[in-house]
Amino acid sequence: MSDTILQVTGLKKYFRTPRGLLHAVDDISFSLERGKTLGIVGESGCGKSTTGRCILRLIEPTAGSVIFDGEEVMGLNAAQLRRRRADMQIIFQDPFSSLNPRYTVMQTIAEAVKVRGRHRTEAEIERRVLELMETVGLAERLINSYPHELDGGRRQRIGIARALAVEPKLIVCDEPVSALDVSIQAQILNLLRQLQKKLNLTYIFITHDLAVVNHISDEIMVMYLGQTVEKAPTEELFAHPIHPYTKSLLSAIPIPRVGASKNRILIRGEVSSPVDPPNECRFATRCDFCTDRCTAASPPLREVSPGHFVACCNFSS
Amino acid sequence: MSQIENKAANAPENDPILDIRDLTVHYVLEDDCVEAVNDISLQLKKGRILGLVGETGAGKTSTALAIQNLIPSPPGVIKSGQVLLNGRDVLKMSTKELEAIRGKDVSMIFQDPMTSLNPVFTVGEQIAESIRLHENCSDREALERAGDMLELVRIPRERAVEYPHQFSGGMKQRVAIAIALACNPHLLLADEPTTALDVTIQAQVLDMMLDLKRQLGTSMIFITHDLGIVAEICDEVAVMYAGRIIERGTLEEVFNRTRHPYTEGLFNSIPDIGDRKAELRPIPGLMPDPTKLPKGCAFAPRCPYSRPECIDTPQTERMFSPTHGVRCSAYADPAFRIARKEIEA
Amino acid sequence: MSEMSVVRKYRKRSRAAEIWRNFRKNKGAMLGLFILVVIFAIALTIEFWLDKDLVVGQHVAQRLKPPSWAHPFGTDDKGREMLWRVLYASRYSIAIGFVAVIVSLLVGVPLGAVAGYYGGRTETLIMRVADVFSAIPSILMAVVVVSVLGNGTINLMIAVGISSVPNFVRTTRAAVLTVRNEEYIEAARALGKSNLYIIFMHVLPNCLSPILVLTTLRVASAIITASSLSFLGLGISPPTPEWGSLLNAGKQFIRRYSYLTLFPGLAIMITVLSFNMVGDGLRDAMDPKLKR
Repeated sequence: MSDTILQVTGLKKYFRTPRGLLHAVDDISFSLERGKTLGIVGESGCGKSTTGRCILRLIEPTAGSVIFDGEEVMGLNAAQLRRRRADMQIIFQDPFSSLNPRYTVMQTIAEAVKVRGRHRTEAEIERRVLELMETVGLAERLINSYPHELDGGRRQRIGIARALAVEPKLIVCDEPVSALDVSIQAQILNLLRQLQKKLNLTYIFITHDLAVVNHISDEIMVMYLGQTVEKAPTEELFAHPIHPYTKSLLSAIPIPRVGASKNRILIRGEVSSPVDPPNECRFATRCDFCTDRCTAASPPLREVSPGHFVACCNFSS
Repeated sequence: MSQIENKAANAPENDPILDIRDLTVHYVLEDDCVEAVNDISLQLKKGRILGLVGETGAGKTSTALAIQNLIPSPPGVIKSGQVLLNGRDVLKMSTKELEAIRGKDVSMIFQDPMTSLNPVFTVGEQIAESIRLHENCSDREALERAGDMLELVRIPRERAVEYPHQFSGGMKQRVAIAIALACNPHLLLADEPTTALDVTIQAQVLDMMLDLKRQLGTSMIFITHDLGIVAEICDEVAVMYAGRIIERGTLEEVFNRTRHPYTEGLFNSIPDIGDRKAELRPIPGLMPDPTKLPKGCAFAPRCPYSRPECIDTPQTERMFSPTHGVRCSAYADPAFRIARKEIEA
Repeated sequence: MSEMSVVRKYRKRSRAAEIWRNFRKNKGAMLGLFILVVIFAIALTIEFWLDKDLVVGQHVAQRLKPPSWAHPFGTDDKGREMLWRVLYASRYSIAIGFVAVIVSLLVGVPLGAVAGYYGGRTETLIMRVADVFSAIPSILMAVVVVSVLGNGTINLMIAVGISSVPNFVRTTRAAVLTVRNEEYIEAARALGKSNLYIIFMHVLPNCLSPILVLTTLRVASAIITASSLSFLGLGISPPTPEWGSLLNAGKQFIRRYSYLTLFPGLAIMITVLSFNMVGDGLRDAMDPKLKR
């Protein structure tokens, strides 16, 4: 019996630019079960960050439906939306710019604690802040520190504590470890996994790092130029990647082993423009397997095996 | 194209291009002193690529700057040591001599391609500028050679008249590489050149750099924190922590016969593509405060094998082979081993 | 579980203390501050220890005496001691400078914040109106205001204040624009905070630095504007001394009795210079990236 907490259908975000209509997010659909993690993977410009923000309506989508916990988020007015915000939070990529430089650790986390209104007196709020700091692994003595006095890993922990303080059900993690050193990345990833188990959190994990997403996600969605090119459970995606882009993405990851297989699938050329894209497969200009069918129309996302979806003309179910 | 010769072919076999001896660089601030680089020594031969690995604050960038004598002079101070580039000590050169070698014998590419190119000059101009500075040739010849360099980095030469903003991130980085290699330097310093690039573009750039090494015989120092990249293109590795080189050796030695606990910790922190369910084992704690480094091992507080005396014992380098050196006093005990197993090649 | 608040236990040096520490290192700024403190002290207290008659009375016997030990700044054509006249005038200049700038702050900063935060047509409307106002020379504007409202200190303050508003609008808007796109603003929205809350609790506190510096600098120019107006005969009427009107009164004697204009001029210059130095020093002290 599935417990779907998030249902996204036909999500679109277009930006009007002097050169034309920029298709940042183009018809994204997926569903997510409570307690699971969906990894959204892609390179710069693929629209993954925009997708995450559209789901939270931090950016207003151009079209589409987002049903969160049974409620259509798109239909909420400003006041209703503000109230709903506490249920779905975000952790940002840059731990420095996502914290107010003038707020101490205490002030940043306390602001979030006050949202639910469950803790009223100063003493209660302080106790809750300390509780959260301990949960994320921040030492008590840092309570009056400013962001610029702390390193990236600690700042990110503040961001996580802030997101947890409002007791959300869903957290969109927008490249939360990309800006951190390797050993700190590992610490934060472990923390996120522990928290998910303990609090039954649902994550949308946005990243360009396939090794990281492999580690933390149950299902992965690969995006390219605003569209989903492949979606599958994590193990399945790594074991049997189908879309040429997914394959080259996987082969591009440098493996820390001497003599590791160098069957590099190098993609030629550069990403094409997301402005007014023609009605064809967006990967066609760079694909080695491009045929006439690929330039005739944009391939739809099709299920090629249970739970495994691909948008590629060369593969039909 | 024929003008660009392969340096390695004409080189006397055993002379190192770069020989750093006991280099110490400190930044003297108002209240404290940041000990950025502490007594490091390394050698690099012609046509070899050295991976300089470490996390933020380990001292990698300071080392690269010291090699070109570019440490900002207040507050940076070279406390001791020599940097011999082709036998000449860079730290003792006059400004004029330094200007002559920078760009010609040694050049550098930086992490952020967005800001390392001048937006108001065409890319052809920027490459040609480097050539004109160091070689005696006419403007037209310089531009001609700039076109050659663009082709070398797999950009069509017609694009020499375009401006940086017309190129993508990956291409800008390739232009930066073209500028750096324009005068065919003996040594190229690359400071995290692919960190800011997408992984597929990174693959293209790395592939290209390996190709360039083969064609031109340039030695490289590749600064990175990504062990995957090191495995892919480096011949030798030096791991830095708190300004010291705590392990160095050939790629095989450092990866397959790892000795230092910090290096082992780095390997444990990386998610293994092969085993997704494995729990990551990060190194606990944080990098030490570079203004308060201990006399002995700076890694001791985070080391799973540390003994009470480690933090006070000065760490001397122990050689496990003519090329494999490790700074870890635990090895005074000949039976000591770290958990990471040796990997058969 | 101790009773004491953990926040209090780990109390640290506040940001203000750090800024003061940096400011202290700047010798020029400290000198400026010292001078300002002295001028302030005089301006605030002179009413209580000086006999007003010395300032506005008539002492014809001593008229037009040049500077000497007996008359440090000389005497004017009515025999009044210039020393007291100049010192007494500081009250008006400082008062006008401050009140005018406070008026500009209260009007300009909210307008600039709204323009910068909301953007779109609101921004365009506010900025174009500000542009129109700044296109009118401040003296001219002040003249118009004073002509409409009449002479007097309060009206002068309003006139000078209005002329500074566009500056505050522009500076605030620019500062808000840089802060508005920072991720912590997005984080505050993600917490469900309203726009008004965000502007006051997150945006403006991070715009303090340029606004504060602008304030000190505008006080200086407000003093000059006020003096210019008095020089033109608007605003403060004689015999009340104001530096500008002292300049005006002295200009007919400028050939033979140049000291009549020298000392008020010096007073303006030293005050304005001190404000500028303090303003520059503040800007440097608040910049965390500056190497000291």
